[in-house]
Amino acid sequence: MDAVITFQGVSFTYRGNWLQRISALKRVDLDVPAGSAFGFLGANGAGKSTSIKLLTGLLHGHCGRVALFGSELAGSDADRRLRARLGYLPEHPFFYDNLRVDEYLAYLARLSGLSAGGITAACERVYQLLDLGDLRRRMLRSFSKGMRQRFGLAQAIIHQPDLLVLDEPFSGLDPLWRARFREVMALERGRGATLFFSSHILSDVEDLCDRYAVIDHGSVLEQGRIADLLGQAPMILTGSGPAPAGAADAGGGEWRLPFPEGEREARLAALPPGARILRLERQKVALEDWFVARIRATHGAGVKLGDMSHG
Amino acid sequence: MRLLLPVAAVLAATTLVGWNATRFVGAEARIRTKELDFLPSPLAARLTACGHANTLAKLRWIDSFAYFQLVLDRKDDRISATGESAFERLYAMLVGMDPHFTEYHNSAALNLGAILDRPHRLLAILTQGLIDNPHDTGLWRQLAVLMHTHYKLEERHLVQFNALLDDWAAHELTAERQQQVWDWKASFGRRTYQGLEQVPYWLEQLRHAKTGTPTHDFVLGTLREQLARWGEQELKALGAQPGPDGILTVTAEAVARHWPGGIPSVAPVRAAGSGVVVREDPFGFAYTWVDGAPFSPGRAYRRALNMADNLSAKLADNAVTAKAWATTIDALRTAGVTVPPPPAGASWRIKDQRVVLDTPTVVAPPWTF
Amino acid sequence: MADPALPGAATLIRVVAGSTFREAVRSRTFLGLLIIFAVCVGLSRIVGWVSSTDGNIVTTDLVMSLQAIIGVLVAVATGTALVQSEITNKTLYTVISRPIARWQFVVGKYLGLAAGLALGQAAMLAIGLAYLAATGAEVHRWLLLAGLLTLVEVLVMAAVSLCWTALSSPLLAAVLGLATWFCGHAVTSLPELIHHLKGWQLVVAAGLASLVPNLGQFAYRNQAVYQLPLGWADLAQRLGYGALWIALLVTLTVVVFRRKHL
Repeated sequence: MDAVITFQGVSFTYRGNWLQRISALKRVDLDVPAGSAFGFLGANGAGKSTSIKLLTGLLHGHCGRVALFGSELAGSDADRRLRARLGYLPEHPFFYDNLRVDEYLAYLARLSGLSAGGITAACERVYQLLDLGDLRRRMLRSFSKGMRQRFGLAQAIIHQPDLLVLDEPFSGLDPLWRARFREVMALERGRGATLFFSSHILSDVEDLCDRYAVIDHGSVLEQGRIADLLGQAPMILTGSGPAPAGAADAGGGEWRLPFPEGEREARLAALPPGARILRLERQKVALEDWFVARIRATHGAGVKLGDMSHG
Repeated sequence: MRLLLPVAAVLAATTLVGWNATRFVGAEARIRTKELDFLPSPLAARLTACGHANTLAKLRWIDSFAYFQLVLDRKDDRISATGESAFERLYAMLVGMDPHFTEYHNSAALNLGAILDRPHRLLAILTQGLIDNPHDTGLWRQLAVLMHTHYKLEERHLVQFNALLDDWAAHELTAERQQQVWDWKASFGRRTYQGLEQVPYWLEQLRHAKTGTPTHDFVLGTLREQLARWGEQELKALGAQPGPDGILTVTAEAVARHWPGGIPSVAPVRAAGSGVVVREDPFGFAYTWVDGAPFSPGRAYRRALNMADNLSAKLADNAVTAKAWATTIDALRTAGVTVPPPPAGASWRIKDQRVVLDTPTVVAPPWTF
Repeated sequence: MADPALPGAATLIRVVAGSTFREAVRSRTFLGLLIIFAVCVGLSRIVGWVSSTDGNIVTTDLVMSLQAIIGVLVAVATGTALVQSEITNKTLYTVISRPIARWQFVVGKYLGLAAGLALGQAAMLAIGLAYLAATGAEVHRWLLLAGLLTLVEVLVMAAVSLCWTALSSPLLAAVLGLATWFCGHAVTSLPELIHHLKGWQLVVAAGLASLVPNLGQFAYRNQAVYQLPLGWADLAQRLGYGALWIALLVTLTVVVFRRKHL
């Protein structure tokens, strides 16, 4: 699978006061495959926004290689063609107060290269997707935070980009609109777009993404498939009748027994007579818990879900 | 309860506005006086005008009106700190910033030329004005008046004076205006009455002064004063004598001898039936007989008004020293202030902490021009 | 969507300028300033009344000055905020992330602001001249020409403020913008100061004065009030001078903005 986003040994340093320099990214390596939904995880100040700004052309002057759709961003006018295939929803988006929704969308769509005829059709599409049709004549200064977020997603997808970069897309949304956003993202992904988003709400990442990366203090700690990560969770054997040694009461006459690989035969042999095996499944562990433990750990070995004691 | 706050706000606002307005109730207009000590140099004024030299010059000019009154009162324009002439600095600044607004030059003609008698400075300003505005009729007229009145160019060097008038006519842009120059030139020849040489000049100033302004009042007063003084001279020459009722009389024969071509329009006598009677002075008071000579009360009262301003200043000084305002003229005298005797028929009085002159009522309307 | 045909630079600049213009003229500040101008113009007649002379000339001077002063203040305020507020409010994130070069964005923003300022100046001039005509003052074509040159001064000041913002903070840029306005007018009188200076003072003064636009070029209003004519060649020279300064200042802004971290 071709990489849509590639970071190879990317470092970036902000200028502080006078001679002070602040290192925001340290030799970051990252690959986002085409068609994937990529969750970019990190605490505040970890380097997520800096990475996104390098992608979107808001920052330049980095070391290393940043590539979009296989072509390196050179900080020149040649990058325009690559950015035309990108849609971006910033965190806490702000917009001009005195433009109407339809004017604003037409403005941004025109900048993205849509023709006058194409703009009308594109606007109708996003009006439908995000219920903005009735608001099209409203000035943006009258919008609530949630409405601004809806408009933000609309402007990001209006030109049907190949890559959607979403920075905290669910911020300020009520549960209904969170669900609608998930549907819209699924539609975009179904169209063939790659999703790259950062979020503090890790359940959203868990639900939507198939790949992830964790960044902390400017370095990527690990990246991979969500399924692989969740596959590290321990197996649990659930049964009824007489409980074996080491089993925990699960209520309703059932018990639960950890069932780690390598000890399975011994555990099965140790089952008391009359015990019935009901099911074998992986333990459910929240990504949040894993993330917190992962960040708290040193930059050395990763934390396995199986190391965690949560039930 | 919902109405309470708005009602309270309206009441509070009304009270505050009313409170502020009380300052204006019964307030009388007072002429503001100020010094011009802090006038910038012409160059500094231009440097700091930020492209709005015209506007700033005019605002500064309007602000300096208050100073005009001060100078009219004391006939002295020296700046207290340096002794420089404030008027010269003011006009240099105004003309430098806004060279095309010729009202400054006209004002300079009055203040520098007539009041402070500095024709050389006025000549410089008028010359500069004509360089900047070569077709301005008013400036040419002022220059011609100055050359005629102050420099007596017509008497000393008639050819040069005529050349000046020719130059003026050449700069006029219309035939009508050129004709006015020739008419104006001819009018010099008609001024044959000794003592009235400056009347055309003051009439010219009156044309430029706006009615109701201190400048207009001053010019009008000066004109009447000149005519009153001339009237006193002429009555004496006519052999005027007081009658039993105090009214001056002249004989028709004396008038016919004095003015064989007819009585001038500004003369102190006029024909009445087959005889001649003495007119009221230009201020509207009847001429009287004082110290063996004809006397114009109006002229004396006008001079006394200047004295009243000086006495008011002394009254204020005395109030500071004595920590109390004198309310009568006698009290003022007792406090050590020398109060000159008022002109015949008038009296001093203190009103609203100022010395005022009470005069008899005029018997005829003052002359207008 | 694969590799769309990208719009040209002129289209992008026009689109950015259009939205900036719309945003500017719809702001309440725009309407508020017009109202303030109208009130000040109405009050200017009072100054004419107390001037003891031809009040029409005084009022005309005041109207032309008000147009310039309010225009310059608006230019400094909006020029300072033009790009900086986009950075502070992050409104430019959704724009710069699109296929538009930063120079196109800056030029488009400036042109949009210039169009807004031009509309404001035209409105102020129309209000001012209508008031003068209604109060009996003479309204002649030279006043229109003076209004045009005042607009050029306002546009130069917007470019000055934009440039200062790229080099410093918004507050400092506003102060420096007003200082430049003061110096730009003061240098008009510099030749008169020359004889006061000698040696290195003269070199330094002349050098520094050459670094700021000579705004006296656009103060024709002082002559227009008296109907002193301005020739076509003179007008073209002044317009060209203003255009060159604007081009230089916007270019400087672009150079700095291209390297800016957003």
